[in-house]
Amino acid sequence: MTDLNQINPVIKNAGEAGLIIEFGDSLDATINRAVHLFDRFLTDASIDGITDTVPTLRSVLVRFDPLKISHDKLQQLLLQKIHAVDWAEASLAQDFTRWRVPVCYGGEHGDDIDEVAVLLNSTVEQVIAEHCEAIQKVLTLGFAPGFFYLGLLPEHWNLPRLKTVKPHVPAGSVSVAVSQTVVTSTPIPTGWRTIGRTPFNNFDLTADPPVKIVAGDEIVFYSIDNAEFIRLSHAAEHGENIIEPATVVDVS
Amino acid sequence: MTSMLRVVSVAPGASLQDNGRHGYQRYGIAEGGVMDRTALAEGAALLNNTLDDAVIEFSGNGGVFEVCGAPVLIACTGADMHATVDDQPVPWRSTVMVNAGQIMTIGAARQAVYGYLHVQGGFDVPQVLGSRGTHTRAGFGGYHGRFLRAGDELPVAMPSCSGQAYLSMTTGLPQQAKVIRIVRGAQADKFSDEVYQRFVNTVFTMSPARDRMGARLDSPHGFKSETGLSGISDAVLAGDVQIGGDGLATVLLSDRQPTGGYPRIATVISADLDRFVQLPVLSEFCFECVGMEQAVDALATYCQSLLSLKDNIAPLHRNPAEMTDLLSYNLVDGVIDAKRDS
Repeated sequence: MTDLNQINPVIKNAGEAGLIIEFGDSLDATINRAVHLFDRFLTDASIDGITDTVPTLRSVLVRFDPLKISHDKLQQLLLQKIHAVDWAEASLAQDFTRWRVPVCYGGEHGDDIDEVAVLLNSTVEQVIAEHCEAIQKVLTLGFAPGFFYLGLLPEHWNLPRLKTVKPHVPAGSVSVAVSQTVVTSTPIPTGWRTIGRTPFNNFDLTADPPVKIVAGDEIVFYSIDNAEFIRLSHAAEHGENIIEPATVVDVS
Repeated sequence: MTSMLRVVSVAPGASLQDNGRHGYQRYGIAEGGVMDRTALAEGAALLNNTLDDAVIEFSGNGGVFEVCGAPVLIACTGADMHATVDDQPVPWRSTVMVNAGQIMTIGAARQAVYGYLHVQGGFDVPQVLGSRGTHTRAGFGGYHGRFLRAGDELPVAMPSCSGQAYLSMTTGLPQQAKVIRIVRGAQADKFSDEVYQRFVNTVFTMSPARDRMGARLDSPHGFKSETGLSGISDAVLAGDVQIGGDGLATVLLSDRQPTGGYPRIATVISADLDRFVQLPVLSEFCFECVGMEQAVDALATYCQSLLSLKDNIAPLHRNPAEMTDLLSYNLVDGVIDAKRDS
């Protein structure tokens, strides 16, 4: 965790119609939390001229119409808010959700789990137990539709990415590297080690917004067997909800 | 009676697009939309369409199409391609009525890259997450979420207002430029002054490694950043010039991934992005770094030029000797129009 005093956001230009507010230069839980709190503030404040905001791991992209609000004026407004709040201490009225998400570990769904066990100097059972024990924060969505990054796992999970990218993993793949977990929602290539697969898909075209799990939420995984994976996949394909909130997360 | 455009054949890379999918980048969804927004606006102005109406975007080469059902009013914009309807040449940036059974052939782009076929009313495909554009990687939007292919039948939406054949846009906006304006990028400070200056002074060549996601630029030397490879991704914009691990530049475009971890040395200003995407492979160009005030002024001029496109529309001058379809027209209306205008 970063020391509170180290959060010193800087504003950078992103083209003539965007600003990036960078909360830090490293991947850090406190910095990431500040990003999502600030993004929620911007969404709630609905400042005239801002067209969209995109929170990521350590920054928020603010897109705006410079013909409606000048760079100077928007920068001033953002700076005022940034300096009015201690982002490391802040909490907002709105709550994020902690989800319980089923995963079928190993086997055909997670063919890198044996290698992960070797790298962690552990057993497959222990890998699953540790992965399910951690409360993992959704650090950001990005890269592909519904795709999310979770962190941070204990330091000994700081595994390197694969040397060669796997051309294709299916939707629902749960993979690990650099003390993070990533979960896919569409079939994509990956350079991360896949340890399991969830029947839950975080990309639902029939819903708007098209994702259920958002940045700032928390995930606790639980292990299911292949029979349960097939049953839940079937249920999900027929529109049933297969994840439930565990408890409400207090972000403060 | 409804209309439909049947795809007899089509070159790779053609897809239905519109003004893009806005507000979903936070969910990992690419913005998408046409590569050349000026071309989209020109077609919309000619046909009384909106920017949310779907058009066909061609990449370098067109295709062969047959109109079925009611006649369709069409217009072609963007890269000038050789086009005919039943062997009669079709002028670019003009409205043309195409009847059932007529065959429209669109050939190769003559100088620029992305050409557009618009139909009045737009193609009748559902809006998915606020856009009719195709997200080919995730397989949704547009026509069944994929590039077009032979045999596809594209329904045409009923136009909401009337249109007129043989209108022409007299002054198309410049499609290409040899100088592309940029502003300093979000990570320009990760590069030494010397490297940044070299970047601005370099003559780049558009490489063949280009698609809707991005365009790779060839240059005689790379632009290494000593400190920029932290690998922490931020949200990226169309026009961002990122420097990869090999020191080479890539300009991110409509179908870019929503986040990227490579340092961005510069961003192409919005006003010059359409001209940039229309630069053909192997063409040479350079960047000109402008200040923020200049970039915003350019945006205002660009927006104004798109809003006033309708002022550039006039009846198309045709040579009656070349009009095999002359007898099918009601020439009396034209005479009355001429009197009213004079």
